[in-house]
Amino acid sequence: MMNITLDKAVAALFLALALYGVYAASQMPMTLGSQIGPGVFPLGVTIAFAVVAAVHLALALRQPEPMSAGSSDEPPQQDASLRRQVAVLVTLLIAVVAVTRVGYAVTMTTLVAVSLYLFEERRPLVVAAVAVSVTAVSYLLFVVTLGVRMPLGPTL
Amino acid sequence: MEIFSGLADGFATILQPQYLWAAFLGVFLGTLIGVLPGIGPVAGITLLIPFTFALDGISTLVMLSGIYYGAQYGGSTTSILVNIPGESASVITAIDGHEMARQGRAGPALAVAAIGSFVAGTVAIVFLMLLAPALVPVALSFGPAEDFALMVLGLSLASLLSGGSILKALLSLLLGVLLAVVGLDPISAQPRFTFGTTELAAGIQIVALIVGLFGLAEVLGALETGRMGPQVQSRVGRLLPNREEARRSVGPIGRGTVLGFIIGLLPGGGGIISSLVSYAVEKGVSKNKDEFGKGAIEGVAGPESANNSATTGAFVPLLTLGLPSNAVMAVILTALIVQGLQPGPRFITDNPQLFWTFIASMYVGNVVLLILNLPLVGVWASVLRIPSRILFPIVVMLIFVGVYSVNQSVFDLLVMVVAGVVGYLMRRSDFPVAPLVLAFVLTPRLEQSFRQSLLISAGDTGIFFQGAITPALLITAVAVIGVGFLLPLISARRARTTLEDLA
Repeated sequence: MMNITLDKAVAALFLALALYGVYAASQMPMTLGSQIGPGVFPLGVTIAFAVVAAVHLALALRQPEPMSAGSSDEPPQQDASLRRQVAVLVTLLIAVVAVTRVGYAVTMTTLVAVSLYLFEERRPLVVAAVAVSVTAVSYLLFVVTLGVRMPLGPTL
Repeated sequence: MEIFSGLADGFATILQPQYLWAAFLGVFLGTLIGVLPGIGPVAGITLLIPFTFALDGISTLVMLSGIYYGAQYGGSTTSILVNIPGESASVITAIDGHEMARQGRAGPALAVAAIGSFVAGTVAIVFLMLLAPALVPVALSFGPAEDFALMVLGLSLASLLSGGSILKALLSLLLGVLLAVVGLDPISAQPRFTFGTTELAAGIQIVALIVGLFGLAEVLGALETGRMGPQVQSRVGRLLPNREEARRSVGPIGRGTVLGFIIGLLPGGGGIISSLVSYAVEKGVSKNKDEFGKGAIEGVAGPESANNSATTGAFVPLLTLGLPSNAVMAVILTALIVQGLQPGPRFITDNPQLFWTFIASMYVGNVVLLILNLPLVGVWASVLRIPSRILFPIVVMLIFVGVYSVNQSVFDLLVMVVAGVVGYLMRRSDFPVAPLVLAFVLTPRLEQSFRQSLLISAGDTGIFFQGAITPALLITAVAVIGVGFLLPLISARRARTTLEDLA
């Protein structure tokens, strides 16, 4: 189900991005000796992007706001979902920073364990068993068998 | 004779153990991806790209194509048993397939889907084998202007057929083009949209972008739905269809095969559209129209055959024109480019062994698909017992490892996280993601042919209006976009007229 407010926000974001693109592309060289320069193609694309984004935003702004649903259980549920989504993203960002510092084993075990918790698997033994076994199997499969290079940690 | 000798060479290669293993692994992983709700073929194939780097070109193509058609079939198992399509092309199968399962006829529904997929896949390979080499001379006659116009038409069709608002599809497409020009200009080395960073000078890494847009966005979407438990499943029961069910399936499988292949050739065509069209056709020609929606076997046989045939058809534009017709094909194209292979007009003539091995691998893959899916249907059904709360954390880890392993780059992981948020927001507001991916993959060639054309014509844009092919392709592209704008207006007017008549 489309969210009208989100649709308008995304349309506005696209327009802002396109307008910045037009500005940035216009600063690029338009000629390269007798050839067309590196700015021509991006400028054409960003102008088209800005025009389509402006039309879309104008149409989105004409859409009526949805009627208020009154008191329902949905907003608290949406808040909980949003919190979990943000938590997954933050966990991933921490893992991004951590992987080169503490290595594959610690980062992946923690990432899987926290993700399990966020996906509502709360039994400690299951979380520990899945996190450790999945990390071990993935290490054997990717690093040992397929030769994928991963940081192994400061001691390895 | 050339076809037969090529095919014989292809079989001689594919029957070597390492390629047979690649075909088996591809079909197995594809079926697994298709069976598991939430991981579509695009995300699945993208996640596996980094792990194909250790393989050679033949193994990569054989394995990725196996994943693709494996996923097309695997999706039907979930559709039929639990009414949740494992991937989008199986949405239609769920209508009658799940009704059959509710009536205790899950086995025949799964068997007809497997047999239909096998027959359609096998016949479509014959079409591919005959059509692809025949198209090569046409493709080779294309210059930069024709190439540019062809890609513009391909992207226009992909926008139109992605479903929903054409404006949103165009925005998605233009965003893909914009993201693709980030980095150093290939001719002048001038930085474009790099914000002075060295990381962006190399451009946006495609695996990071696609894994974020599809894989991470899928994870974020799963957190929203809150469905964390195992999928409820029906009993499979007897497997083989009875005589009446078999008789009623023959026509739909034949029609689905032909329709699916033709639709698969079109940019933007593929699984979901071929299934929809096939279902509509079967409902139209059936003597049992009133059974549709209540467990008609034709409603399973036709769409399942069509979506597998479309999968094969989609390889024709990819291998002959270098034009991916959907997001999965764009991902496969990327994997081949990483391997140093550039699908396009010269692909078949320059790589005959690879082409014929690939064709032979599809025959082998279809047999593997049948063997894996008919006797082992109970095993696949049991995969559905894995709860989402266990499955998605594993996907999170695969996403992380997959992206990092390409360049060992922390920056790529950040790109993946941002792309995941963008992909999730785009889905939430009904922006199709496929045009973005297609545009991202095609833009380097699009810009190159645009600049080469203007170099040949000394900057005269009239080159795009010379001859017959380029203007025809560009006019068709404009018409396609025009149709995209007109269709909703016509539908709205019809709806208004109907409402007025009712009042």
